[in-house]
Amino acid sequence: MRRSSAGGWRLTDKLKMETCDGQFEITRQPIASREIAERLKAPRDGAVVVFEGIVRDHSGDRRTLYLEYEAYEPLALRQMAEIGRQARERFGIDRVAMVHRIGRLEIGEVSVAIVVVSAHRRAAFEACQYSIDRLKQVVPIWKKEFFEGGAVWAEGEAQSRVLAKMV
Amino acid sequence: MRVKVLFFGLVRGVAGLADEEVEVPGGTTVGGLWGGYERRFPRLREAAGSVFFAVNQEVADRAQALKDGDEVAFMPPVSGGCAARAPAAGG
Repeated sequence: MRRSSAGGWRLTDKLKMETCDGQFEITRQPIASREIAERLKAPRDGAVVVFEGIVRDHSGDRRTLYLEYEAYEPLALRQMAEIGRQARERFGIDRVAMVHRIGRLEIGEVSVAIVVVSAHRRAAFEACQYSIDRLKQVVPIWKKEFFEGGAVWAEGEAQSRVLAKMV
Repeated sequence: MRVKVLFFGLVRGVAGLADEEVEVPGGTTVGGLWGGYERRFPRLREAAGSVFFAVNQEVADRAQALKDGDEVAFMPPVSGGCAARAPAAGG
């Protein structure tokens, strides 16, 4: 476990953060969930739960061509780390990794991965669900959907007050 | 004093700006700064009810007073992850 003496977390570079609760990253590269799981797990763990969100080929009855994601990166990392802290505190998991990809993504590509390692499976499942649900509510990342004849910014699932309450 | 302003998502699209540095009077609040952009880009008023703010990479409210050198972000509701609905598509 790496933990800075000052704030309990450190930026490993502009787009990555590591805390005692896990690893958090915004990336423009494809997400390799298996490698994240290998990196995260420790001998004390008995369960790994991996969630991947992937780009769907439709939105409602409209055919999607591709998506573009953008993030307010430093705040997104901090929000993800806060979700990780809450997940660990609530469910007693070992650690969590949250990685979101930005830039252009094609159909079927992984936009977000949540990896939870834990001594037991139940906590890992619950923490994984909690983490992706919160990410979609409070992490400042935006999705633009491109379809035949146009593009539109997706509406969020949550309003600003949800985010304001969290931090 | 000078502040840096960042625009994201739909707000960036409407304003046609990703970021800029602006000179504002001392005592300007986050809400006051936003109000100035609403006057400059009237279509931003449509986003006014759902936009949220950050100052120096922390969530802030409209009443917060700005200081010289602050970084202010204007952000629409978030839509990361994998399956948020698109507007008017009905899910």
